[in-house]
Amino acid sequence: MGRVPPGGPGLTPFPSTGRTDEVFAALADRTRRHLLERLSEDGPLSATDLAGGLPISRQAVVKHLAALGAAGLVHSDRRGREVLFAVEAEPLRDATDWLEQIGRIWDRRLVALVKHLSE
Amino acid sequence: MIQRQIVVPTDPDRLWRALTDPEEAETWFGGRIDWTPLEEGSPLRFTPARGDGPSREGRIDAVQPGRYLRFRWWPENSPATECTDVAYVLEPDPSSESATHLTVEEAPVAVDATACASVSTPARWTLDDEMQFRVWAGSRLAVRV
Repeated sequence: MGRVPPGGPGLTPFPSTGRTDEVFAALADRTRRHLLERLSEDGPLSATDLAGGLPISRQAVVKHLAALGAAGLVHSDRRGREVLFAVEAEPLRDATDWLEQIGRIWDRRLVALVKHLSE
Repeated sequence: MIQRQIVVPTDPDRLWRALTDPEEAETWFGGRIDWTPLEEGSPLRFTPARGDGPSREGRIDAVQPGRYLRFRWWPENSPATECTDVAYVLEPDPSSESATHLTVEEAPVAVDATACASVSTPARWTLDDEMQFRVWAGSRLAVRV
């Protein structure tokens, strides 16, 4: 990073999907986080596998998987008659990195604010 | 969600000025934020210092002078991406008149994109979401991926 203004550099664009709103909307749901967790432990799994351990219908699981897919958080592969879902790790890492980057910008701003008020 | 808490060596009114006066905020913010007037529903415009990073636009969601400011902002002409919600919370220090506790929060707006620029206040990414997200993104996915 070349030029760094007093308050720190601007936020670089959210990388892989460019759609933070979709990623965080998908992650802001407890059921969807649970599905991601199961897929990261035991995936790839079908919607039927996933619905097995949950108090919701297979149809509801399919809807949640579609939201996760739209955000780029899972991908699916057809194997014979089954569609199997697996976690896509990169958007998650990008989301964490992006949040941390926002935090670093505030750290710099707040240091500059305290310095300004102490002068 | 990002949350930072610091103690600032001024009273709340002085801090409020430093946070909200465009000329003064420019000395520490890393760019210039204009909100005219500073009241709920007003648009805001952020011009980054030295052209670093995108210009942003946004809207003020709540103003309680000396106590609380909340706004959301997004890259100029692109409310569909990277819309976040920012809050400043100022609390007088219980033991000193010349100290103020400042909490800053910034959270992704976790709703569909069109909602960011619309009038209703969107759902925020909460601290609970953040903690749960970090727990499994850190301890589980990081190990397996």
